[in-house]
Amino acid sequence: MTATLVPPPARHAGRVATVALARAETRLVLRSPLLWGGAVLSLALCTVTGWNRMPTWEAFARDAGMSSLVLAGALLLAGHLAASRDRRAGADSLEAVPTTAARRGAGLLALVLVGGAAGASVCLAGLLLMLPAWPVGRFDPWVLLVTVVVPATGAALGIAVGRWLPATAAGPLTLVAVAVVLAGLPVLSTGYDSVVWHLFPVPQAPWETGAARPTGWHLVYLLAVLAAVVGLLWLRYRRLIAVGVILAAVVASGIAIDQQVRATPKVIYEAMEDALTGPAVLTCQVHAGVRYCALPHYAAWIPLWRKAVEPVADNLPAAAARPTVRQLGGSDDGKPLVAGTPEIVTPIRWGRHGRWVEDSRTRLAVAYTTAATGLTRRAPAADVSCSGAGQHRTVVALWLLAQALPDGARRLADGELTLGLVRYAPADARAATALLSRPHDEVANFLAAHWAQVMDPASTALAPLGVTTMPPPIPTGDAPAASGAPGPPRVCG
Amino acid sequence: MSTVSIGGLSKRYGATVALDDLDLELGTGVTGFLGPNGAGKTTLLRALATALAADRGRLRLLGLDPAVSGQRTELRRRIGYLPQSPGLYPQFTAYQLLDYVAVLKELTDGRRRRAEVRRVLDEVELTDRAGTKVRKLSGGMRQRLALAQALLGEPQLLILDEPTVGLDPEQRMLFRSLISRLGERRTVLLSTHQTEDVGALCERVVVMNSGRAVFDGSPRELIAVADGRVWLSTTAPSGSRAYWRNADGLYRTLGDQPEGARPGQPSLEDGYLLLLGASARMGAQR
Repeated sequence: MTATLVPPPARHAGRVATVALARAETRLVLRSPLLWGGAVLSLALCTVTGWNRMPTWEAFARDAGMSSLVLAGALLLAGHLAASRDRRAGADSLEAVPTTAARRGAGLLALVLVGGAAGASVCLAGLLLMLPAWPVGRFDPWVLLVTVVVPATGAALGIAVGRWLPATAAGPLTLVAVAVVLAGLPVLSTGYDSVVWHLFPVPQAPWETGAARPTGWHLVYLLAVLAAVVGLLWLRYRRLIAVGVILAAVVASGIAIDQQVRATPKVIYEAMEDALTGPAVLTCQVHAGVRYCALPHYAAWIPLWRKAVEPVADNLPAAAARPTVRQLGGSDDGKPLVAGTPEIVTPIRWGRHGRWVEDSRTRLAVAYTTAATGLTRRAPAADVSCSGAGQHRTVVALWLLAQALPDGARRLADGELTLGLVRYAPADARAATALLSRPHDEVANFLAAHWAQVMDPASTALAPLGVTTMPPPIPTGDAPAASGAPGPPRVCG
Repeated sequence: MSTVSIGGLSKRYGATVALDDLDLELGTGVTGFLGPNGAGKTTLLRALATALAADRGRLRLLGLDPAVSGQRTELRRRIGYLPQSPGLYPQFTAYQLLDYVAVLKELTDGRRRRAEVRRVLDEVELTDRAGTKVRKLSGGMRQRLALAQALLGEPQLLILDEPTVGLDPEQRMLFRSLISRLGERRTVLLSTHQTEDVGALCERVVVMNSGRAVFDGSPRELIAVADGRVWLSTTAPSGSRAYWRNADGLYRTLGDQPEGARPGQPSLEDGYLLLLGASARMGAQR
């Protein structure tokens, strides 16, 4: 051991020292497994939740927001451990350092920035993990900023609790208490326009798309909560300023919540829905004779729908009506965009990978096929199935679908092909298989020449092509069942 | 010139008097504080380190008054303090800990701070353990690390509360070597139960008992307290309990001469024990 005298190192007080301390705290928290664990878990939750469907800004904001709560929880614990580390270690030696407790509190606030940056990083990583897909829908920057403010608030709460209650158990207990309160908010809520509904940190979209969402005010509310928590920490050092900050934050959060309550309707009225998702606001494009109408900001999905529809539409004769593909965001009033034109509706969800995208495509192809062949008037219709058994148009629908879907012919032969809510008999499948074995042009030309006859529910127009199925008698109107007992399904008319 | 000036310093914990109207003037060099448990050594050192406010009295350290907020902060920039229980963060590495404490000591320039951390690690011979977590260091290494944090920033006043406790003889020798060198140009205040450390290191020794300084002088003067009061005999003295059998098989007695005993060579410990015995008697008479 040698004792050498060297010139005393340079010292800086005030802001520079606080910044240096904040940087030191940042370095420390960046080594925290809680931060990284929380970030990874948050990212995993966000990614897994939305993994199987094409991203939309509405769903992503909700998933990322909910996942940010996990990160906030981890940062609450990390913040508490950082703020209470002196007490935990019994670090008496730090009682005699020139850095005051207030400055140490200010230095710890670096964790708030780290929390915000971590939230933003997780959100960005969540978006990048969706590549090459990119969210559609209405981009709302305010709601995305929730993923920044929520983890920052978690860190601030951890620091504040750590300064006031440095016992090691206080951090986890606070986390549990906050989790219980948050879980209770939706339960206690009486509706979308209730105060409790809007207290939940992640804005829950009461209407899937289009409806006005006062997310800007929600962000103000969250920032006010963050300010109040920081004020709570500062109450230990600068009482008067802290009380002022807390009071201002409470007032601001009250105003923000009130504005949200006012801006959120309890129910969405028809006129409101029309204004948000009605025909006037749809983006419509015609491709290969098919009209596709997407909700605002969803036009990027039209190519996805085309992939499902065009294999069916390409085999339809020129005389066939081509149903409109319409995206629906709210409730279905059953009114087509153009009276007399068949229409199918598609939701604001679409599969993204593997079988999920196949499911979406199949569902739309089936809906388009049954609508194009007149088996359904609006597909998918209400939850009422009908029987198309024996009808020649059912055979045509199966023939069309078997060509449109991957491995369709085999699935038809194996009885795995479904027409959605339209039921068919094995004989219809056999007849469609027989049609498939004929030259495509022969069948296509026959359908082009006899489309109107084939579309008649009672028709046996395909007999020249060897189809021998016999349509059942077609009832006139929808006769009610004689009793409460379930009878045979309604015949598709 | 005194760097530490203490006048009428008092501190109570409820009914217990920790410091009782204490007056001291201390200068450059190593000063040792001896005393039994509860004598007030730690309270005094905590007050000197600005970690504790006294109830009454006057303190001036390095010309600054710790009771004044701005001067206290300035003073803390010039003090190195090793408390009895340093409480090092167990999950930090030795380097991280020193770097963090250096930041708290306002060494804000990153390059110079890192150099300072490396310097003190070198001083306490822990350079090769810089990346080891504190919880994995031995007790002696932790004590050296605690000393290293006190040395950060070249403090002019070094306050060490029982720095050699729990160290093996080799580590104590290393400590003594370092502290004696540090004391050449600084004021080092050292509290200890080890009279050997005081004898080896200190130019001045203050013996405390019941919050008062019952002795203030050089180690030689403390030894002199025992002159003519240390006795060696071949048989155990009767009527006295202040004796023990030493390695030579002789009975060493402090105080009055037992029958048949011959004078022994007094040590610092003898002086200290006799002083405390007298002090205790005086306290009982008071």
